[in-house]
Amino acid sequence: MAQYGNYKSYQGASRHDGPNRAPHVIDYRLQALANASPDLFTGKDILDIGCNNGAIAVHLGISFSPASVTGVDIDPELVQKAISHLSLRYSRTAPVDGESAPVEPSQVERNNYFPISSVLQHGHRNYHQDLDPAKFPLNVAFRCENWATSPPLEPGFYDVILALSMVKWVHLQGLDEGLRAFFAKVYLSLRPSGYFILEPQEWESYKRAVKKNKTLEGNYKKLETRPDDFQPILEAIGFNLLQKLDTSLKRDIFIYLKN
Amino acid sequence: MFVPRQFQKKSVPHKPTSSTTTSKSNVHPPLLAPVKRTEGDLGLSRVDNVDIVAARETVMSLEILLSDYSFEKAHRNWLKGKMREFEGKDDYFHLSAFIDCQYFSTIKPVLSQVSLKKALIACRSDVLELSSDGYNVRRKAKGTLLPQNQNQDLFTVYIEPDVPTIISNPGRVARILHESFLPRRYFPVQFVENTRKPWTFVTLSSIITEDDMANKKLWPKDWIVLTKSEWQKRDSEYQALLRARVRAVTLSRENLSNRFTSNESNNHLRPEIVNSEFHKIMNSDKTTSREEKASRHIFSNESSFEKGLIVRLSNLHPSTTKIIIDSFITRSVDRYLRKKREKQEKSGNSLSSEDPTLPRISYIDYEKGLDEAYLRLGNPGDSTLIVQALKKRKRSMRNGEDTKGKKGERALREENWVLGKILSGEEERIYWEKVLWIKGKKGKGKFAPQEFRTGNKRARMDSESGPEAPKRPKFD
Repeated sequence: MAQYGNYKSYQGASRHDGPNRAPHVIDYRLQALANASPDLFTGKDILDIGCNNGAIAVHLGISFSPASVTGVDIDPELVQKAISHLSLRYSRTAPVDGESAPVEPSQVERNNYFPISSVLQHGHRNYHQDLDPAKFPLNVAFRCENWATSPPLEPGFYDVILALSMVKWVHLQGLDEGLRAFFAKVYLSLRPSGYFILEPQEWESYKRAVKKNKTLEGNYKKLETRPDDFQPILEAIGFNLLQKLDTSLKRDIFIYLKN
Repeated sequence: MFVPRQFQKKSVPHKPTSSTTTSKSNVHPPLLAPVKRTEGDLGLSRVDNVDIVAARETVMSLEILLSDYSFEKAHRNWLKGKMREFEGKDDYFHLSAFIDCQYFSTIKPVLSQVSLKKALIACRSDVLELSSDGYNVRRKAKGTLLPQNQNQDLFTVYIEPDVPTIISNPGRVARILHESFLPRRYFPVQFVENTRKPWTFVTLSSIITEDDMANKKLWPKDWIVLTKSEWQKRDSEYQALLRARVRAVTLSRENLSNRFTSNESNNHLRPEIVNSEFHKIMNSDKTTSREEKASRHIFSNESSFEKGLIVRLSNLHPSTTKIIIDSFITRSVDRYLRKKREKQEKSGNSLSSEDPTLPRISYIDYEKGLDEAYLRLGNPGDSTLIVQALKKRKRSMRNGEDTKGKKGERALREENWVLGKILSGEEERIYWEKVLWIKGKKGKGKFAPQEFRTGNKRARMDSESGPEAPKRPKFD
């Protein structure tokens, strides 16, 4: 049972906008964020908390030119999956100069130059030794960690922290105090004027989680804070709501700015 | 006047007159004439409760099944077997023939003749013709997809759709393509390879032009589409890239083993060397040296292998031998099959003539002192049988000569029974490449490039009758 939302076959965005998309299709949430603020990720150090299979982190690394992307997840199996996903996406990219690219494809095609059939049939490609450490795939890393409870190792390191559809699990596991501590840690880990991107689950979603997992029922009953109360809590910590993205889909996305 | 039924004029259709319309109550119901019934009579013109999108996909699946490409190539024999005579034409197919077809087997709810009929009525096909009873279908006109000497690949595209699961439904792929902005000359879709993979090949009705390929707006959004020739080119590039990597790794290993005997600097890993290797392979037609030819042979398409033939055995006794392993496996499979047979006979199911026999082990790759071995089987079925037998019997080897094995509590507790696993994916490919390196040396060591003479004992599968592998350098 996924007590932390660590679903092994998580469908991610597809739960909200229909069928499960292929890995080459950019997650609609990232697209919406990029549309709202085109330079939100460019050249930034990004942390994706609860990265699951790494789809979002890899998309960020390959398509949005960040300085670095770190994906953390509590489940070691999912972290392995994320590393494998990164390797798969790298294998598809057009060869770098050091690998003697025979044809220079357009920038749009570079990320999916090699057919997925080749990668799945012949195996992944090893990382080239001349790769630029500041560029994809070396700008993406994953690690296994319960980020909500671990001590803050990187205070003030990140420019952007993403918490997409994962706060419910922190809340259910750590109760109201755990959630506040989580938000405080996010604040601490961000650089000044850093962005916290939050996609909270609705209260109904809490009920569904408890229905599936009876061990969380005790904690659920103790909760007094509701998703609607998150904004005052975050503002009390020191965040300002910059923008609320209405993606016309199931869940809203909030962009908070660290004061 | 009363007219007995036997004498009523059955062949004359009733035509209502002005008198009949005025006095309806005094008139007999119109006589049914044995003329051809209309679509309205059969309910062919009106269909209720039909999901139009699903019906359209079903009809398009049928169109693909009955396309020129299907008749000429893909399903030729299957279609011939299903063809029947109806209404004077011998190329009809009863709808029941398609129900269990792979194209429709994944559709939920399960299709029936009636639902197929409803789909064909709800969404008229330009290429299919429904019989008067609504349960038989035929192509309106036979065509030839490929003109003389025309390369079929020119009609075919490689696709990666935005939603990979649609590939299991060829009709859906065709429907989405049909709703795109592609020129109409490409339709109907001739063939969609029905797979459970995230990519497939689609054959269209016309040669795909470069302009249409380049115009991404014509194709469905978020699809990756390549011509088959472009796909082949990129696939070859990818394989060449992998081979260049493998060679680089091999060179580095060779260099590591040589560093104790040679003072040469380790320049094998330098990028320019790796890149030149890559170029050599990419431009292999221009190579002339015998060594390069040998390496090209090793990495050429001839190195393709049949999948599922290699079984890795683990938890063997370290002092066992190939002969004992052979006996152990054969005995395990024999007992497994015997028990299975007894069970089936008990339940009243007699075995058919196609029941599995003892597997044929082509080669055992084992070195004394190890607890692992690799078996090469004649066919993938034998591999599966061995793995199943070992899993069922759970016997551990007590000593190096134990052909029987023991299923003790300790073995079960410690899970150290002899285990079989069929190699797959990257592991299998690497194993076969090692084998092929050795094969390259077999009997013609002078042709084998220096870098492949690694003396890897694990890969000495085919080298028994060939020259001995070079001895490892002494490090003391």
